[in-house]
Formats: sequence, C-alpha cells, structure tokens
Amino acid sequence: MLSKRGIMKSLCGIAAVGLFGMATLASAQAQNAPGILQSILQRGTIRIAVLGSLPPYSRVMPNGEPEGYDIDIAKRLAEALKVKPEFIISDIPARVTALQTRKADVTIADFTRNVERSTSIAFTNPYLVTTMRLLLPANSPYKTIAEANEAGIRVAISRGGTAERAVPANMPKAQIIRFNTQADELNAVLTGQADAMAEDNFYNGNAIKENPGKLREAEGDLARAEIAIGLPAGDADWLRVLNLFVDQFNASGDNKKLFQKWFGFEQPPIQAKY
Amino acid sequence: MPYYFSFRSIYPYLGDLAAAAQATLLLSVLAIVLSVAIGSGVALMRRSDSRLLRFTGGLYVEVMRNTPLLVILYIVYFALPQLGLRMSPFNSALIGLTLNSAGYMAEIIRAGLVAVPPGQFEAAASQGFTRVQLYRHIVLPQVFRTIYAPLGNQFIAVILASSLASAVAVEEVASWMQTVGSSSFRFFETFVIAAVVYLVLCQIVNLGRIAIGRWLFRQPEAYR
Repeated sequence: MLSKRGIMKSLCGIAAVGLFGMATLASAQAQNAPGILQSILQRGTIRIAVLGSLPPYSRVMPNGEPEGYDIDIAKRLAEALKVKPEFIISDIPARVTALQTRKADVTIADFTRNVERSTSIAFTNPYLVTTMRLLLPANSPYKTIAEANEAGIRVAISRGGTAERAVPANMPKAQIIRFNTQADELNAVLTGQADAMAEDNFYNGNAIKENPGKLREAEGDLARAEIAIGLPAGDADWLRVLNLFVDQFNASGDNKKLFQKWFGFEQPPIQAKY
Repeated sequence: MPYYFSFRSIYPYLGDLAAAAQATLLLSVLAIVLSVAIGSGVALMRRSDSRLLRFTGGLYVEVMRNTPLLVILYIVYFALPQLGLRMSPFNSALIGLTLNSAGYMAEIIRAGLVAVPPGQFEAAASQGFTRVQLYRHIVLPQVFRTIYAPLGNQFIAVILASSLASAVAVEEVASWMQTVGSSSFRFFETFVIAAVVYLVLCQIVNLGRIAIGRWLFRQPEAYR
C-alpha cells in the first residue's frame, strides 16, 4: 500500500508548482513602470528581441553581431528615435515572453499577427505580407496542393504557426507532422520523413536556391500572413510611435530597398486587395 | 502594464493535452522497461570474463553517457532513413531514448552487481549452481533490491528526457506546450501547465514503482 506521507509529498509538490505560477503572476503585476517610450528615451537605448537563426530575416554572425532584414529594420527604428539599439537574441518562445516580462521594448522577428495572439501582446501595422505555399521534393509526383491533398501526404509544419490552421483548411486529408524549427522541417523533407512542408514563399525560395535541383513549390497558396512588429500589450503611446514608424518606413520606399537587399527580388504589395 | 494570466485562453487546447500526456507516459514507460532490459545485458557484459565483451559494454556505456540525447534522436530520425531504415517519429524517439537510458541503467545495475560479495559466487559454484541458477536465485534478487531506489531516479530522468522527443515530431507534452504557446502566445500559461503535468506523470510512475517494490520485496511468509 502507498503511504499517506508519500501521497502528501506528491500533493505538496504539485501545490509548489502552482504557487510558483502565482508568484510569477504577482511579480509581473507588481510592476508599475513608466511608459515604454519614456523608458527608452531616458535610457538612450531600445531593447529589441530578434531571432538568432532565421536568415535572411536575421542571423547571428561569428563575431556575435546579428544581421539581416529584421536587424536592419531595428537599426532604422533606433535611428529614428535617436537612441542606440540593444539586441536580445531570442528563440520562438522568448521573442514573446521577452515582451510580456518587459525585458524587450519591441520584437522584430518575423511575427505573424492575428487576433488570438494580440490578446497577449500588441502588433503594429504590417511591414511585410507573405504567402504560405507547399514545398516539395523536386521529384514529387504532385503538381498542385489539391493533388497532394488527395494523396493524403505527410506535411511538415512549424508548431503553433500559421500552418496549424492553413494546412487542415486547404488539405484536410494531409497528415500533419510538427517541428520546432524550419531547419528540422526541411531536413524531414530532404530525408523523406515528410512528403512536403508548408512555409512562406520567401523561405521556400531561399531553400530551393540553397538545395539546387532538389526542391520545388506546388501550385496554389495556403495562407496569407501579415508580418508585424510586436510590443507589450497596454501601451497605446508606444504603439502610436511604432505605427507611425512602420507607415513611413513602408511609404518612403526604405522598406522596398531593404527587402531587395536581403531577399534579392522585389517586395510584394503589403496592401490586401478586398 | 502587468501581464494578465489567462488560463481560459488555453481551454480550447486542453483536449490535445490528454493525448499528449498519454504519449509521454507510453513513451517513457516503454523506454524504461526496454532500457532496464538492455542495461542489465550491458552490465553483465561489463562483468564478463571475455575481454571483448567487457570492452564492448564499456564502449556502449561511455558513448551513450557522453553524447546528448538530442543528437541521438536526430541520428535515429534523420540519418538512419538515409541508410534505408525509416521509422515513425514515435518509434525513433523510443529507440533513441532507450539507447540513451540503457547506458545509465547499465551503470546502476553494475553497481548492484559489484555490491554482491564475491564469496557468494564461490559458495554457489561450490554447491554446483549453474551460472543461470546463480544469477536467477542468488545475484539478481539482491541486485534489484540494492538498486531499486537509484533506479527510481533514472525512471524520472527518462520521463523528463522524453520532452526532447518533440524535436523529432512526437506529439508529447513538450510538443503540446510549444504548439499551444506559439498558437496563442500564452507561453507562461503553457509552461505552468506542462510543469504540473510532468510532475503528476513523474509521481504516477514513482508511486507505481514504490508499490511494485513493496510487492516484489515483501517478506517471505516464513519470516512474517
């Protein structure tokens, strides 16, 4: 028989985790900081969360400095505010939690905005619009997304990304295989562990170029995604400044130039047609 | 601007959590059982009279204890298909986890073997015990009694290590945490829930181990 003490010990452990959660909550709520804009101007630096490895959006160079399209946008933002950029290299969870714990003032990290996500952080207007498409091995027999769906293929996707809804909606017969990084998805396709992957067409274009003769895209689109700058929820003043920055960055043609520099082709239109 | 916890935002995803917890439990329990079996074999190899067997057993233990589990999982899932050995994510993770854990199990079991006094081996030989009888009736009962508690540590280590299986597309609790966190951007909530689920799963396995131990090592009736 199990002893009462053993069971009590288990219950105490479970209670401790609950308390830890509450403590995190309490410390987050105890913060009563001034507005983010004031903090940045007083500090003279803006803290920007970026991804460590998502070229050409961002990557960390051997000397430890980040570079890429998102990094150049961050530098423009710092320049416009007349402060110094301070980069916080993050992964997929950290680019979000850095905002929620106020360790970062903004996140510029290929963020796809939607209403569900905007209940926990805020997003600016988009600076990029991507189209999700199906990336296949070059020798795959399927020409279109519809054909691939009929065959019930295995599609590699990013956990919790745009593909979570887009793939079942467009390919109800496909079997979904989830990975943490795009590199793992691509490995799965190249080694035959998946029949295809669903990623944005900019990523796909790069992958096709880097694996000559091995990959191609299927005809048809899976989803449209709006890429935006993320910021902590609840600071309307900071959102006002960032939206003005994004709007002028788009309208001035600076965005087009940076995009051309990092992706090597012309930026598709940001405005939706409806 | 405080961060407001919203566990309500996680409700729609809780259905998937039950399946994920089952996958974690199944993967861990299978890996534990298999790695105790393989670990016992390796431990016996390390005590063998044959130099080759001793060397092979030692090599296995050192390779498995000195390579990250994540690397082994990647090799099983991504590299073996190149050699024509293709397995589902679950089976790949099970093999990787078992191979890794067997390295540690072997060392725990070997410690138990060492603890049996050499005189007992000699006494058994003098009484005409065969090698199989010696291990079955004299050595292994003592070994498992000695190592039963440290084995529990390794059981828990296997459950926690199974969280890496998400890297090779297994839909377990860590996978659920990443998926729901990325979908909803409510990582704190999913971290807390995943921590509680792992704690409960570890306690289930631990209490199960204690109960089985009580039954396995109960006093024979004659001594009660």
